[in-house]
Amino acid sequence: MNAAAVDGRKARFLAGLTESSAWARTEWWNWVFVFKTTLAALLAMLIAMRLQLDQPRTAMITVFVVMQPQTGLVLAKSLYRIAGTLAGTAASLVLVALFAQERELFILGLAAWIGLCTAGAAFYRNFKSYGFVLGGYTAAMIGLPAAMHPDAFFGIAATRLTEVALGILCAGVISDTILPRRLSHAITGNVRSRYTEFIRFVHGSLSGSAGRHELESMRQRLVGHVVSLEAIRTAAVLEDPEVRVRSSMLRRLNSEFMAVCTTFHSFRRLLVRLVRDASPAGEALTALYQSFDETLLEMANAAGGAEAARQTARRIAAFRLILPSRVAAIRSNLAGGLERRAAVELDTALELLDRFVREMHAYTKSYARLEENGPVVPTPDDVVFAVPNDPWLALLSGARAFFAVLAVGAFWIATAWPQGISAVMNAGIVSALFATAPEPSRSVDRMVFGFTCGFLTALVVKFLVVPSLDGCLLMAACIAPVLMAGALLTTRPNLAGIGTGGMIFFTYCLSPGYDMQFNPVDTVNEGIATIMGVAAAGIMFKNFLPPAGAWFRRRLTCQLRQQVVLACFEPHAGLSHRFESGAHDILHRMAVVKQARDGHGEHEFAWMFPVLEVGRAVIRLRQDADAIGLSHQLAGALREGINSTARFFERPSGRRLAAALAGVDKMLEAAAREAQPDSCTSRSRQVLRKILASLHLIRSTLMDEEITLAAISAAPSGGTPHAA
Amino acid sequence: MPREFALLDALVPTLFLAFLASIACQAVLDRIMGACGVYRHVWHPSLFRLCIFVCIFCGCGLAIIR
Repeated sequence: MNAAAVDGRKARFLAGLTESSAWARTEWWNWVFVFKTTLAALLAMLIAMRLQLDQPRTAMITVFVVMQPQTGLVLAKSLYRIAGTLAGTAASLVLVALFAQERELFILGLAAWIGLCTAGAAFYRNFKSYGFVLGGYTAAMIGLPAAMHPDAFFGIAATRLTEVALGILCAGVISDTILPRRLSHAITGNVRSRYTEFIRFVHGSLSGSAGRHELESMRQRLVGHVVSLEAIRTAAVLEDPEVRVRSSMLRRLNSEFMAVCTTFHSFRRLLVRLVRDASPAGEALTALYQSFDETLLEMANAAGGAEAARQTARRIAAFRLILPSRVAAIRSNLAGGLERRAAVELDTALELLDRFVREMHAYTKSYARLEENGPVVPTPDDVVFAVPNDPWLALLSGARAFFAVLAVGAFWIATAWPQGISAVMNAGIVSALFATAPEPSRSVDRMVFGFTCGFLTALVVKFLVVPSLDGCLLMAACIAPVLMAGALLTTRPNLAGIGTGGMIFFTYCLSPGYDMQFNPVDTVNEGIATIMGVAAAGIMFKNFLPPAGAWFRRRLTCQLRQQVVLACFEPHAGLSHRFESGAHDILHRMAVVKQARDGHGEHEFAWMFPVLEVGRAVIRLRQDADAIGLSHQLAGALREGINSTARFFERPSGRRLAAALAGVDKMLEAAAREAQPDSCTSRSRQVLRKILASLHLIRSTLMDEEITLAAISAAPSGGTPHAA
Repeated sequence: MPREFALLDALVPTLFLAFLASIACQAVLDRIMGACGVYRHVWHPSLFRLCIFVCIFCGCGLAIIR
């Protein structure tokens, strides 16, 4: 054997090894999830059979609904699911007690309850929303069958509750103890990758090589990071005592990150303009910024560890020490050679750079502290991730669910359909379950397809295979492969709905139990009724104000702009964090809708930067204005200008834009007059300089051609909405 | 101790109460141990937590049966 052949074999072997390790990284956790789901479902089934509960399938279906790849999500979901289940049971108890004899009234009451729960689900976010979904869903699941046998209601409700709780416990225990995939890993990953990504972004965008589109998509990714960290944090608090201790630090890190992103963007935009105008200020600033960039970049290569982050923090601190002298040098160099406008622009850019360096320092310090698991630093309580809720959106989702249940219920009563009860039940379940999905009609389509597949599989298994099996264990062995196939589908993002639907409906139709009923006619009728109920809910989703439709998107944009109005008028305490988190949450929802529509809807993001920048600048402005006593005249001009800006963002139009600009100009004039050297102390001159910088920032953002276009196309009476 | 008791005329097993009490007890213990950093020295924290819960619950159950 010659050396070349050995080398070749070695290379092949190594290539195979790297390939399989890559596979293991991505696929390993998927397969772990598949096995855990199957195991939890079978465990729930066997325990339910052992306890002789009526419907082991309820426990199994609960497992499928609750199971998530990450542990904390299961525990958090379980907690809210139990609370939602209890609420749903109580509601169905009330409904049965009131309307057991009157089917029409019962359906009306049930539809109203499901509508209410759906509205609650759309109003709140994350797990609270999930609790509402389950409140509606359980009422449909328990109330309807119980209404047919009011005398046995208590027994039915107690068994269902037991089964649901059993499913939740099985899912929780299995996912928490067997090969757990901790959320704290996800948090570390999120925090770390975001940090390096941001540093790279800061470095890369200086050269101006990144286009506007790239910047936007980058910013959207960062927004996604922010919102997902907040979501994981809320879930992880329930899972991990360690995370609970650090939760306040995470909140603070998120807040600092949002601030530094916005400041950086403002600074960058200004810098690019100065460089493009070939002004001497641009050159000086670029040099200054480059030296800061070098400070940062040293560690971008060795990113990750706590030690590297701490070193960077120290380097930034050192840079902050020399920054004032360099700023003074630039000022004195350029003092004579600049006209007034350019001087203001330079001041603004310097102010922004100073702020950026300060915020970057704080962010790096927090990051280093988090990485090294150091002592916990208390965070002020007003750093709360505020989520703006939209009552109209919630009400409309509720109305949609209400009408879906009502329509199917009316059909059931009008046709005296024996299996109508399953149809109503599933219409209710699906309207509640998908109310919060970004593109529910597509999810429902997939679900219907999954249901059909599960239905056919269940028919085959139930009537051809199961009758020849003897004992629970054999049955478990027989349905395990089917469940595994379904669980594997759920790990693929595009097929997840099909997988979930398939597993749920397979179990529903198979209905394993202590004494099984083999009645093909009943099974087929039930299956058809269920699929029809789901399809009815899907039709409602498609035709009654679809959540990814134009109305909802306009509503989101409107809400985003509303954040600026909040920034203009809300009280100061914790305002900047409230504003940033609110805007980020809305941006994230917009990104989800955009993704659901395969990337269409780019123009909604035209408001992203204007809103973030103007909002932050207004908050700064108000804070600075409160810090010193202003003259009567300037205070009046400020109030007037802020009002006109708020009016523009409330309902943009060309006229209001002009008014806002005029207001800002007036403020600028008044502030400049006040800042005359002879009329004030040095401290108030410093603050006035900051005020001037904020005003200038607002002005330059409002002058941007993007916002003009957006204003014209957003105005309802603007004449030509598609002028662009 | 009675095995079952009547809550608004519905029979509820005493074990259920014991279950709820052990959940509360475990949650308190969990907080304390998390704050003290006990979990950093444990190989499998969630298994550890589950075992502690099982111990508490079994203790309560045995106390009821006796």
